[in-house]
Amino acid sequence: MAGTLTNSAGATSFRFLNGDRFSPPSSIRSASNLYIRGRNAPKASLHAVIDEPLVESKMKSMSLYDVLNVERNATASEIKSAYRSLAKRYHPDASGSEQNDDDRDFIDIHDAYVTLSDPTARALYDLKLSAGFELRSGGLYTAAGKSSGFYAGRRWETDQCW
Amino acid sequence: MSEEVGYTVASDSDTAREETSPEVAIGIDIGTCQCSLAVWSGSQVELIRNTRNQKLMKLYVTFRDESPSPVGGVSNQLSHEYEMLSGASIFNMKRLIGRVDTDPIVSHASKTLPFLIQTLGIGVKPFVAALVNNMWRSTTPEEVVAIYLVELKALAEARLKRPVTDVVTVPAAFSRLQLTRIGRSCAMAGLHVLRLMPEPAAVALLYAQQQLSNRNMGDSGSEKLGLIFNMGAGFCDVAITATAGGVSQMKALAGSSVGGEDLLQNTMHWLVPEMDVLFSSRGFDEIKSMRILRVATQDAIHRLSFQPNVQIDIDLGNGTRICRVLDVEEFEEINKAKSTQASTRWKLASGVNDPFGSLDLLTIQVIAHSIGIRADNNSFVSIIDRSTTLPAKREMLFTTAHDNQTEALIVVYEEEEDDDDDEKRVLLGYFKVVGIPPAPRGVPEINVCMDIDDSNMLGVMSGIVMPGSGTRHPVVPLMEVRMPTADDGHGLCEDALNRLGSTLDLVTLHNKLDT
Repeated sequence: MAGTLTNSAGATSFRFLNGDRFSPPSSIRSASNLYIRGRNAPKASLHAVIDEPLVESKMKSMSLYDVLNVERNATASEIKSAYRSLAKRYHPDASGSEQNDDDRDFIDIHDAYVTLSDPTARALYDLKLSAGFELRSGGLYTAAGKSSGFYAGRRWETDQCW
Repeated sequence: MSEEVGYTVASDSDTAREETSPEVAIGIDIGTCQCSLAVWSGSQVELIRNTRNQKLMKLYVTFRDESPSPVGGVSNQLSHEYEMLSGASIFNMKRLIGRVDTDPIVSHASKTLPFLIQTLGIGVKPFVAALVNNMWRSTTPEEVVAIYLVELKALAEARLKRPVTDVVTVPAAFSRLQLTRIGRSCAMAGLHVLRLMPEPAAVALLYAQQQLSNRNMGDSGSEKLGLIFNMGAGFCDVAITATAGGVSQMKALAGSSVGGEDLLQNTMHWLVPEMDVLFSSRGFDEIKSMRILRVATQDAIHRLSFQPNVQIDIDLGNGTRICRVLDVEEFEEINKAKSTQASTRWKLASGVNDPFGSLDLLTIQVIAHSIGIRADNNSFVSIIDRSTTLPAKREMLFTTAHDNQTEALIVVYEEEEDDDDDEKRVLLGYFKVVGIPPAPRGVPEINVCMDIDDSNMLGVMSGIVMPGSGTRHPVVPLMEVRMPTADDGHGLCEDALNRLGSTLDLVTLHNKLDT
């Protein structure tokens, strides 16, 4: 149970120690590249973040079928159960989601599911896919890495109130 | 405005937590007039009883002259309902928390509750006070809830003999400002809050758990659609969920601030139409009349749930005597405008649970209100639509409304849908983006990105890109603001923003980007 608690406890339990330090255990979950992108990050690193999307992450080059781990001809119920089992693993609330070290994100999984579970949207997507269009488009920030929040490194106990 | 001071809340309970490891998560259902406390026992949800063996505890706080601190309904025993209505006890704070004095709910409450809720109607927090020894003693809704939570926490720790962390359920109708307020109460009470969870999500989780444990008795993996309807004294929530294999995907979530308290207030007004005038001075006699009326009305509504009509005969003093018969049809007529059904039950469904047990359960939640910004000539442009799955991240492109406009104001709102379909906007915060290179209107691309993370924190980020400059890099540093930043006086603040004029306006550029 302690393990599952870390998940959400980590989200709210940054303690303010002396001045500007955060207790290390709480940063486990945010030990992604986002950690450096706190509010005090120098200008240069903000630009670096914007440059980064040019180097497409593994996730971005996958098709929506790859995201959900299903075949191109998967049935609706296969898609649904694939989504559910991925949700159990990758949803931030899921127990043990902090142990995932791959680049998958629940928002991507959900977006893939939304498209593939709607027959019209899926047909349209299939068409695009077979025509060899760009697989996934990203905007200024969606491409900016794992989308667990741009202030992911900052979470203080008092965030919930003041 | 949110103060950036006050990071001193970390109390000794935090250090205690680190040493004694086996902490336990409890669920707290803060109702409008009642409260309950639950813990996951390993196999099922158990409600914690107070010293008087009650599972549902009355939620009120009594201020006293002699005692150093006020006492709440967890430990205090009332000799009679009247005691709660003497003016010294504060209750129904859940309905008032995070609301400003222009809100109709606040002004209705100020006319029907025995303690003092003073409003000026200018868009700030109302003044709340309890009558102690012939003196109005001021307090705040946050403080009252916090005092109560302190008692609850003590009760839970005494029963479980372990430090506790908390999951607090909130109505779906709660705005982000109200969530912040409840969060502040919890922090004041020294709770370690894991999550503020919409009440229907807790019910969905419970359902998923029951479905899992019933699995061996029937079909296993098939998806069940459920409608969750939860009506309490202050709020009414509806959610639709699809549940299978311990995973509950919420499809839609909506809530409204309609509850039993409205039925009560309407009925009181029906009995004494002139009550607003009658009780406006709030002297001792008025408070006494008020509580006689309230108790009699409450009692009448209770009885109407099992009998066709009820005789009301009360003496309010000052020569005002009410003698009327209220039947069910009439009661329904009185409340037709407000209520969805003639639900005369008062009890809150106590569907609280602890979601962080060893079970493999998950509720995938959705957002109850749309969040967007002001654009296109003072209209609300939604960026994250209601019923979007959480966590969520959406972005949208905007542009300038004027030639050579170098600054733009991003005003973030949350939009609630009302019963009568008129939308109510709540101001969450605002910030200015500066340094837009001079260009004809419609050329600069102002990207606004909203992100709600797994602990329901909202962040708003903005950046400026000049198309045709050969680069997609932002021309000035990006700006990110955590919301809400607007606070107690958000109504007042909104008025002031509206007076700024249109020089900082934004216009939608294209439709939402594909994500």
